[in-house]
Amino acid sequence: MDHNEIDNLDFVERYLMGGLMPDEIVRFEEHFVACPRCVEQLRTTEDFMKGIRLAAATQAVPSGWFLSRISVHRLILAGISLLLLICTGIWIGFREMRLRSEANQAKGEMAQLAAHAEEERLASKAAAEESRASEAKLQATIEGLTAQIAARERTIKSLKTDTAMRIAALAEPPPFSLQAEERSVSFNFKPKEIKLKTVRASFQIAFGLEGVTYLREYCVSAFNSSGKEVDEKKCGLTPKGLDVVCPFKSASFRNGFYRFEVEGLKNDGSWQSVGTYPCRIIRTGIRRP
Amino acid sequence: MSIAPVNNDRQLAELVKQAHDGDPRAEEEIIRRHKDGVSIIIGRIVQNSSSTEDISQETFLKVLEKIRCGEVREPERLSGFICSIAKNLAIEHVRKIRKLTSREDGGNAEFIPDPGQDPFTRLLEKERGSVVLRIIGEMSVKRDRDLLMRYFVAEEPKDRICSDLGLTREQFNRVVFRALQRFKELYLKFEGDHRNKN
Ligand SMILES: [Zn+2]
Repeated sequence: MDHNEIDNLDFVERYLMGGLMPDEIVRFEEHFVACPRCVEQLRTTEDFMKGIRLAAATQAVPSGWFLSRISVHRLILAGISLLLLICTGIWIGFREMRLRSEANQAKGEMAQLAAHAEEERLASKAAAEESRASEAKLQATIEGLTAQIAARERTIKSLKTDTAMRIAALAEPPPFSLQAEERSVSFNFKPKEIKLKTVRASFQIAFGLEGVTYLREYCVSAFNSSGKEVDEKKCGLTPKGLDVVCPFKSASFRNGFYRFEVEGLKNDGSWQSVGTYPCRIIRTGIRRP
Repeated sequence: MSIAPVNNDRQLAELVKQAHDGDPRAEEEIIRRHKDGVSIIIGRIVQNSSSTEDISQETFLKVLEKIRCGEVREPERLSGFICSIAKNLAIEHVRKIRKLTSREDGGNAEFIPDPGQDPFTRLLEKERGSVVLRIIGEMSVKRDRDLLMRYFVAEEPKDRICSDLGLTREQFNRVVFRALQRFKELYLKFEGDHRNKN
């Protein structure tokens, strides 16, 4: 809507006199609500209309400007005419009173009808707007749910990526080995920390065999803090070097305290304890490619 | 004559965004731009100056709340959104008052009573009448006086008045325009003087 249309089609006056169609009202209101030019024009015209109606109602208009402009001799002529017309005047007066009262009654009824029609129109518009609002609300709910689904899909995707990385990690060789330097027979011994910074499929742990190289074979078992054996016992021939190196499955270990017990097979066929190695396993993260 | 729209849509959308982000200046600007228009829309429905002011405030509270919650789905159409909230609140108010008065008056109430005008409003009303009388008094052509009375009081259609008085629409519009200009000049001066005194 532009001011050409507003001026050419008398939107301001028609709005104030209730002469616009419902769709014209909506369009015009949406325009003028933020238009200082139209607001000013509406205010001026409305004030002027109120003023001129008040002036007409108090009947000050005719007496006010007639008297100031009628010359004296015309006034005398008018007086004579008035005298001649006095009888018919009375009759006209009565008739006018009746017509006026009928006209007022009709006008009142018209005003009531117009008011009812306007109220109905506004009410139906309000209902339409309400239904539009609930539709918008529904749309917002759908959008909210769609956003939630998208977020969940993202989570699933990231979980899938993590899983894929873990699976890939399982296939990789052990990243490091740890020398379990402290040998202990008692669990009070300060445990060695094995930090599994990058959790892969397995990790290696090495045990020194100085002084017990006469053993033909060895076995290493891992126990958790409740004394339950975890993973499988690792057994093998005594290595050529001084260390027994065993691979353990990372998945068998959680954060916590474990102990590794090493036994060796003597020449006479009996088993001898080599040592108990307390450890604390700390899993600090997942390896990213 | 066509002028650029006062609120370009992008500007409005930007204001809504700033208000949503908690900028109080943006909120003030939204109110400043719309408050006069909103009070005309509400005033036309409730026909009562004090209720108009209350409903206008309620309208902006609701609008700002919706903006803060991000519920304005088309920020560039904020003006239309404000209009519909203002109208709904005004209609709701009229219904409430109708129900109330029809209960009190045994179902005969057909109008909403204005709870008494303040002296200043009464003074303005009287002055409006006097200013119009003065303007009519200043008019030298009877046809122009008739035109104003027939158009604004009797609400006769413009085309009929034009054909009765032998005027073109342009001539008609000129008469109305001049009367309104003069009215604005005299009445606004009066209103301004008295507002300053109060
Ligand atoms: Zn405008």
